[in-house]
Amino acid sequence: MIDRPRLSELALSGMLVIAAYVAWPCDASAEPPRGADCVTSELLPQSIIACAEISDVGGVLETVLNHPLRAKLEAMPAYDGFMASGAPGQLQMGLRAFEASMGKPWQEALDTLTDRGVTVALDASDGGVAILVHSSEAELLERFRGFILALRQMQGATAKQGDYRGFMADLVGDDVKLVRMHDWLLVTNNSELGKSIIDQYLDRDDETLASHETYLAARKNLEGSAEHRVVSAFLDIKTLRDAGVAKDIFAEKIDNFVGEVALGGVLANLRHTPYVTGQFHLTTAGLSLQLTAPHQREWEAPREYFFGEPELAAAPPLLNVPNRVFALSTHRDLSQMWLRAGELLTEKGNDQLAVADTTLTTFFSGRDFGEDILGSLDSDVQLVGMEQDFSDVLPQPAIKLPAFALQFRMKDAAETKPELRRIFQSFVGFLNVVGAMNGQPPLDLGMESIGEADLVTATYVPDRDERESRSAKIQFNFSPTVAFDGDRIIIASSTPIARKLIEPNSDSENTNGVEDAVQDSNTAARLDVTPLKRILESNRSQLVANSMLEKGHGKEAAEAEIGLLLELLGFFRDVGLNLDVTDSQMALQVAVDVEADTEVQK
Amino acid sequence: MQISTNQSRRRFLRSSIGGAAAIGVGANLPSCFAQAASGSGGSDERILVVVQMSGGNDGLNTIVPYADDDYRSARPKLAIPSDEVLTFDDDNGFHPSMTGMHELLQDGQFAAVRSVGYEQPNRSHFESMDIWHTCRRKDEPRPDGWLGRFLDQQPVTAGGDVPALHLGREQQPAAVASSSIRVPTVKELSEFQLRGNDKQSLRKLLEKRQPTSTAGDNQLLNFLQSSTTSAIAASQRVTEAAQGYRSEVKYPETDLGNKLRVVAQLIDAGLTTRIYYVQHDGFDTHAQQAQTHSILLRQWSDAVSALVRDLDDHDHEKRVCVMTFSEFGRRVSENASAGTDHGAAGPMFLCGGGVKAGITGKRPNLTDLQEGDLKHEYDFRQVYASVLKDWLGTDPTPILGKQYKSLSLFA
Amino acid sequence: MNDMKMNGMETIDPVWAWQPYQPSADQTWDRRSAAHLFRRAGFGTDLARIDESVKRSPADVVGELVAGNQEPSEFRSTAEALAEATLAGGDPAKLSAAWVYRLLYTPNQLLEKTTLLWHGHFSTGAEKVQDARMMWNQNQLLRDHALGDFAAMVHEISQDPAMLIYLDSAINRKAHPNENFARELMELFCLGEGNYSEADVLELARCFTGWEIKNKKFRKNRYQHDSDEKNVLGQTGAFDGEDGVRIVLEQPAAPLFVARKLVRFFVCDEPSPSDAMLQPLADLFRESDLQVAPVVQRILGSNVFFSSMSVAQKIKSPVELVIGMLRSLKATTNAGLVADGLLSIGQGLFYPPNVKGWDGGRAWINSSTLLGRANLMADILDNDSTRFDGKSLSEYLRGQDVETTDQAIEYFEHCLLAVRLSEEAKAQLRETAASHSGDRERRMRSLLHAVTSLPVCQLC
Repeated sequence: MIDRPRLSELALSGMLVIAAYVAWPCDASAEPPRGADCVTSELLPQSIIACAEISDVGGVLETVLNHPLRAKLEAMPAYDGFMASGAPGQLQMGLRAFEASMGKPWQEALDTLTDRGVTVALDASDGGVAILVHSSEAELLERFRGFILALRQMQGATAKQGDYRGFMADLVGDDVKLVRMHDWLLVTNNSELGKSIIDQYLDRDDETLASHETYLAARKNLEGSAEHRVVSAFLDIKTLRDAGVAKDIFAEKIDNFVGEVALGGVLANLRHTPYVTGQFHLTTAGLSLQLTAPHQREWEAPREYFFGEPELAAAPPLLNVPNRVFALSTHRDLSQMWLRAGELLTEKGNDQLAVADTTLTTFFSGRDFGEDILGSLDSDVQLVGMEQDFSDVLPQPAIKLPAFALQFRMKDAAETKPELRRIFQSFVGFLNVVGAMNGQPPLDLGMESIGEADLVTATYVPDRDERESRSAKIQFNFSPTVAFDGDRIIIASSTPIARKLIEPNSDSENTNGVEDAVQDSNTAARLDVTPLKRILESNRSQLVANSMLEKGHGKEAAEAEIGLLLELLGFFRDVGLNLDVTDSQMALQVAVDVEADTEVQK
Repeated sequence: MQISTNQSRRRFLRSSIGGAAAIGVGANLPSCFAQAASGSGGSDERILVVVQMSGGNDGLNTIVPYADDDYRSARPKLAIPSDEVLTFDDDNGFHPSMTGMHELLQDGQFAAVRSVGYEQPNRSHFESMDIWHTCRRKDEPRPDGWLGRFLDQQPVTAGGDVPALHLGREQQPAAVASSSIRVPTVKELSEFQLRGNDKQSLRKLLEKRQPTSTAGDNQLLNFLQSSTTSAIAASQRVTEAAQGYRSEVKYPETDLGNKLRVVAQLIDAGLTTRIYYVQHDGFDTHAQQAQTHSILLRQWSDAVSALVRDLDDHDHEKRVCVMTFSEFGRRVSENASAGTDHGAAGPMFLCGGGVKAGITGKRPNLTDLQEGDLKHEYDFRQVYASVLKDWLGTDPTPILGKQYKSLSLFA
Repeated sequence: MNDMKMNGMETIDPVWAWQPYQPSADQTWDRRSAAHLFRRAGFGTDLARIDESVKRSPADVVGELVAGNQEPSEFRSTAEALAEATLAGGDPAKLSAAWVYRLLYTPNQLLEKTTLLWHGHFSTGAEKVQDARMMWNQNQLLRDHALGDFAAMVHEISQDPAMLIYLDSAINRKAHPNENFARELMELFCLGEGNYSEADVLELARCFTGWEIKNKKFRKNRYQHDSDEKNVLGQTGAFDGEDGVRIVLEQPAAPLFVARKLVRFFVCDEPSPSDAMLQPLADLFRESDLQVAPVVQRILGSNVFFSSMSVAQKIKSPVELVIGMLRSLKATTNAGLVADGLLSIGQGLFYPPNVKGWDGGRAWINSSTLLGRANLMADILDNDSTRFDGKSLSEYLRGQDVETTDQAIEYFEHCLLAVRLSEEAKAQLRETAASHSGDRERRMRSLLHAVTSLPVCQLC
């Protein structure tokens, strides 16, 4: 058993090297034509609607391979287990074969192969995709081609070749073809696209992407600091829209109310904006993605609820609680949106909403949900999630979920508070009646006060023989609570998080660095990884079971997988998301921070 | 190209078989041709499509006694204004959403039975639905449903098309529970087609009988081989029907519309399935009923009338009947939340080319009530009995447990 | 009824039928008969184990299979931990996946197969019971007795909360004896129709009065128990429920009824054997105090089991088809996918169709389930989590020295098919395989998909 992989590894490397060299001489004839010295956009046709340029693959590799986390990763017992499992053996084998055919270490080979850029381009027609790799060493590209062909042969695929204007195209996938044009390597799934690129390479006389108006505007948008930028991308929204692609996204109205709340303004912008640009940054401290699109206020009228009225509105600060898992704040006038749903949603969406309205109005004791309930709240929406502490709590649920709370400001607390309190009480009564029919445990209503604040709580009452249970039903994660504090109303999934949000000594709206960033954002969100990891840890047996069931793993393999997953999660610090809107631009930013400066602990 | 040739081949076979039979040479056709032809629409067994309105449909606002003063006084907020009602006689008319049904009635393809219910009505959704499904009360064992018992009576056809289908994502209704047959619940048309990367070659492999060394004396293998070839043929018909299906009729883009379009395609593909069952949920309108009920009725009326029109266009109207029911009607008086609460008797509907068009039953008496609810004039089993006897051609008594007087609902 | 003559079950000598099978020139003990044994006594096993078994005597192999009548504690604790984890979510559908996992990993296939038999026999559906833990407890009950004491199993099932809820018998008052459980106990569980009268149903129902499910637990409510004299199946006394079960099990029809079920499950779908044919098994069952294992051992080691009356004379259930393919190639996959798929083609674990359980045989087959079988196989083979002994299919086969299409066809034939393929059929498969341009892995998976979709692969 031990001998087998080594033998085949040797054989594989040998064959690949031979194959690569056999493939080599046939190239000698090709003269570098005029297209050899152009930039990628000059080779691409104007029908390209999206492209991403990856610069500095070598630099990315260096950042990743020399990252402090790498040492930490390799020091993990789970990593050893993974290495011993044999799965990476194939990868190692492949890498060694790659190195053998390239004649240099793989990092160096990759760096050289791609040192003049890699571009992925999507064509408007038939989902044609082209990947163009530009290298300073044509010879290395040819070896790479030989390597790929040999690999295909090893996998038992039959070789198929074709010739176009003197260039050999090899079939390397279901309909993926590979062509080398001197110091360019072209991979595409669409023959027409491939031909047009080769034509352009040889003739250089057509209109190209480089002269396309939208592309030029987008390029301009991408100018500026390129430090640590590894990918810059462009998406031609206008052409996409005109071509009728992804109609659902560009449809004037959508079906779904929740979708409209979350993304209505963004989708509205996509219906008018000419293009979107994207940038991907990578540093030792983390990675970030930024998507930007031109934006104009007057493009869309009925979405004041989203952007704010009369001028751009910002989200309230992110709430903070101990052991916070996530927080999200946004500016949304839900009442306006509910009432104007007729203009905003499709007929189908409105049908659904009308049915929901009937149900909700029943729940809310005949009060009109859109006008009376949502209408009593301000447009500041704050959501926060928290890890729950079950250490002294019985019964304890078998699956431990985070608690979450939604906070609004009431326009007229004196008016609204008693009303919503009554509604909550009758809602709990309603749940008890329905729950009793379905065998659910009953809820016990309670009241408490903290300072000036009032809480109405509802707690699940366990069966007599389950009071001490440590594997109670999932319901025992919840103790639905509504809290009133001044003009604040907090709707919480459990009493403790509501208490945390009103206890006077906890600065629930602290204003350290992160929260400040909210100031300009329409929507801001943050995910804290450490508490999230702890929640997952406390559900480890569930995760292991899931892995066994869904991946068919044995127990040990599943435990190893989940162990590794949780360890890896520990490498991340937090994820932040911001939607920033200005008078001319809309930008979505997602940033992932890693634990860059951790010491390796032996 | 391929699609249209297949389509025309089917058409050709169908018409030539018809022609051949007409001049009395049908028996001479090679049997494979006859089979292919009977599969592609030649089957003339009648089909029942059941639409279940879940939640309790407000019958009084469906067939509206608009001239009845008692109606207006019981429904100060919810009564449909007289000028909006789609009238069909001096006293009665349809809810304004039901334009599709109104046209069907004028074309002679719509029948309704008013005030259908049962003795000692139960006002729980689940219990009343179970009674409609099984025809039995709670204290009796009810392992099967009325349609399931109908299926049990049919000749056994193991290996062929399923005799009944439930379309949708909901739990399967007890009405089709049977002690001899498992009725599948199907979520989409693709479940009738081969999946995977290699479906073309697999179809080629399976559509012919495989030669095996021992096939001759293994009855089970013979059975499996003929079942497999007929399953592949059926799936091919469904695929062709779905791809080449041309319909002048525009189905509404609703769940019910999509489900009924699939039903039309399956019927047109010539499946020998006799019962199709779909559900349309949301009729439990306790508050703010007007708008919701109007939407639900429009969805129902548009989808069912589209199905009937579509079947007309494909020459199936004489063999398909669409029956609609709900587990109960609603209280005569509206409640304080502009809604209505659970009631008792309500109307049932039958649509299709085979029905005797018109309205059966008197205008409900809104003053002679039992606990605020309409009294029933007909037992629902009388409607079932008519459907079983006059439409599906079977003896209703063993299915319904006793003899019920059938009504004259079919032409 | 042609089939009966074809099959020969009617004319067979019952004494010969159940005598221990001795390999002969006519009925050799080879790969084919060993694979038959593993498919019927379980779901199937890999070729290496089949080959290893061929070197031993059939009686020896059967003895070993039957001896595995309890799970090794390590596997049991893993399986239980898995089930507990799924129970936390409270969804019976997830529990179904946990059972699939057990079927895929159990070292005692005969025990799981027999548990599945009793699940269909004492049919209870989660759709109605709704409570995942109750379903799970019943499943453990069935497993504990699967190859053990039938009487103990019936006694416990008659007090099982899931069963009583499923049969609408959670309440049973003195004034209104609930006949449902009493009837099914005789008709479906122990005796079969014709072996009791309607009066017996009424009287037996009175024995069970006061048996009820309260707070999800069984209890005897003595205020609701009818303590008067009853007359059940010819015996008279102030019987309670336990007496009722005992009297039913004492009937001569009981061992015959169970033997018929076991023969249909292990030997062949059709035709139904005569009473005379079953009598030796019924006698054995009674002599061994209704212990299941000796009867199963006798059946699996018998002449008739290895004869043409049994080999390829059953239609695979969905579980046998899917788990059989996976276990024969040492494969593992997404258990949830398999569980959902089994439900869609008619054998959802914990979701039998009605009180009679699965009819089996030809009832498994219609155009919708046949397409469903092929499509489920496609889904499984397309799924990334499907691994063969931890490897890709082509790597696994290479490890078995299977490289070419021809070798693969022969390999699949040996481990998956009860009937040899003809040369034409092989040619068709070769043609199918040749029509794919993908790499070796894709071709092998396509070929496996084709083989498992063949009518002949639906035979067990």
